[in-house]
Amino acid sequence: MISLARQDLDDPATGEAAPLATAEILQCEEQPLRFTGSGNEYFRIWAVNLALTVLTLGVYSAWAKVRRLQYFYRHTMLDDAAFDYVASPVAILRGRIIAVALSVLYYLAFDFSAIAGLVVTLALAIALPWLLWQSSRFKACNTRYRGLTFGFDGRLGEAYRTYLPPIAVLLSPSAIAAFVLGVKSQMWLGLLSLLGIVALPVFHALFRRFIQSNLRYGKARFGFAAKTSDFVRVWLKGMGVVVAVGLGVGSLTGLLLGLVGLLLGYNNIGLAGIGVWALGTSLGYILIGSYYTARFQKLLWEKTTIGDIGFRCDISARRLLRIQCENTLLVLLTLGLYRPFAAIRVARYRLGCMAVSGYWHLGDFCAGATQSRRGATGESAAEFFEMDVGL
Amino acid sequence: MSYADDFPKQYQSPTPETYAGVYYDGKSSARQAVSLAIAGDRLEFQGEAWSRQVAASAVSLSNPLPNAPLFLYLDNGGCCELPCSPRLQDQLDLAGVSLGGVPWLASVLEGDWRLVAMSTTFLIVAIAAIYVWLLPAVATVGAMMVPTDVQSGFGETVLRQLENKWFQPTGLSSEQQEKIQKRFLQLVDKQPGKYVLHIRKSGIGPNALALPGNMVVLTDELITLVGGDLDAVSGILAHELGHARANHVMRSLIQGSALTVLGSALIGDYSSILATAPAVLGQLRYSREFESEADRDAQMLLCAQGIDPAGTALFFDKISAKEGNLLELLPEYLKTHPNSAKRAEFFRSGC
Repeated sequence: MISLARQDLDDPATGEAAPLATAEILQCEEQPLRFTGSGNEYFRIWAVNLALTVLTLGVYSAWAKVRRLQYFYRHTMLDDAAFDYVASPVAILRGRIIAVALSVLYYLAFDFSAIAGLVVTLALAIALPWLLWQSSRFKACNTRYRGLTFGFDGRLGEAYRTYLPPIAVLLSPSAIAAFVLGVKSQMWLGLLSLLGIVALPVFHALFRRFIQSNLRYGKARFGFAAKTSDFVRVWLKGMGVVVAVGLGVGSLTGLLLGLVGLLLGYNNIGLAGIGVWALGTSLGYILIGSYYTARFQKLLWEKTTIGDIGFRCDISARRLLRIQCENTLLVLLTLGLYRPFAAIRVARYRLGCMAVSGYWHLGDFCAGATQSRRGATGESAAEFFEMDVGL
Repeated sequence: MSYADDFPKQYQSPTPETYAGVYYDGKSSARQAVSLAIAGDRLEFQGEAWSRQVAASAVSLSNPLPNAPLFLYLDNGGCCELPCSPRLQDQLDLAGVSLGGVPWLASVLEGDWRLVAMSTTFLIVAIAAIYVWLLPAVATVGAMMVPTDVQSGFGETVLRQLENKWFQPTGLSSEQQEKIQKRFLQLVDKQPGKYVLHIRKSGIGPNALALPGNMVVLTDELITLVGGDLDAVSGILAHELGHARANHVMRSLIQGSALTVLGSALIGDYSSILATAPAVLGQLRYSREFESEADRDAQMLLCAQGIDPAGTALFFDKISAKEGNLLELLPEYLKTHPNSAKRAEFFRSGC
């Protein structure tokens, strides 16, 4: 990395080595990320995007996606320069058509026969790592900053090594249950699912490391120093928070239900219980969602380096939780019309708490090899199957 | 053809304005100050130590967005970032710079708040229309297209699962079963198709259900609840037959999955738990509509067979007393069935 760094510091115009150890290079400066988008502006884009998408029966959604991302990227400023998203909507549309075709095939196959379903599931499992790999490449090389594109150098073989084991673990309980153990062995099914839950943090760490350490900006590769144990710790803490909150809410609920029974008659407990359960799970979902979003954003970026440049991320899970609760309430009260404002608020907070610092200057990066910008097949198809994770 | 079109473009603005921006050469991230002037169909970039003239056709402007920087991409890999300026946009357009696949319609619609308001209104009306008319229509046609043997296969699978989990063989005397089966046959007498009634002892309390494939299931507990009153039982059977005849199970399956897809398409990328809320609430309204439809159908069937519908009211009175007062206080839009008291009233109104 360091020798590469020297080369990167060479003057791109003359090819001469830049003078090292000058005061300017050694000065460590911090640049905050700023988000300048506004809810009013984005509301317009959002409303028009949705209206045109409905009007064209979904075809416009690819153009809508490009426009939405361009709005968010171009309002993300670092050192007075904006990011840009340059994906071709036609490539995204092609990917979405393939995704719809794949999922129709998947559902029809199970109607046809169990064997056909199994074959299609296996084929999908084999195709999925390729789709995810394509998706990472597509996303990276369609992102630009200061005239340079990002890139993704992960190898396809490594993508298979990273993604196949979790896919196998996720699919095996249902497959084994249906074909080997018979439908009734719920204990085995439970055990296998439990294995999946225990392995989840490890797989999550592997995914993130694969993506984050293979990204590059121009020619400069990203470094990613987070250990698997860092991920496991965040996962466990999150679970702890949920259990603690669950116990608290649970005992309160018991008390409340007892009161309802005493005051309104015991045949009302079931109904009141359902209401409390619905409210509790929604709140719990927002709570755990905000916690993981904040903590993983912090872990991901504070352990990432680009050459000599590092990131600082002062995100607070509590602040994010408050924003998400208010957003959810307002989205519900306005029947969804507040949603664009909510998206802007979250982006402003999540981006505004980040800063970039290092001895390298942001103007010292060099272009890397150009990558083909085709490959939206992967991004859209993977997105369709809800595999798109992270910031 | 107007005079302006005829006139050579380079003479239209004799003193071109300049716009300050930043230039990146595409080889490094180094920033170079640049000023851009537009003369006819040529763009002049003036850097600190260099200047370059480029034909407008060799430059593309990436979709302009409100208050966001403009990105000009040159065909030599260079890129010019300029502060947002509607005037510059107009001039670039005039010079013939291609707007890299800009959704022209979108920028026009977004530009005018009245058009935005119209788009929003259209969106709300379209969603309401899809919900009220399109989905039920599609579901009705879709349910008719499902082959009969697929439906009965599906119904049998559901029945088997219910039997594994909840149901046991009935504990009623064969004499009583026969009486009920006789009433059932009387009700389905003039119906096209073959209907089957299963009586089961259940772990789910008094209930009756219609399954795909023209199957009706009645629980012992329901019969006990009405004290074996045959008129009340007939009313319930007629209600379930109403569900079966209109194929409500298949229809609600189709409507439900379509609603889930619609909900997640609209707000799914914001929060998946929020996306299920409209789907669930929407599904509840469909369910109440089906119940009312089946009630009306049952009333007609009972009257045609000369059975007094008022007998059915007995069941709703009993169930109403069993449900407790909180359920009556709950607003109707949160329930799968209309209020029992109202339904009792409906059946009491006679033929």
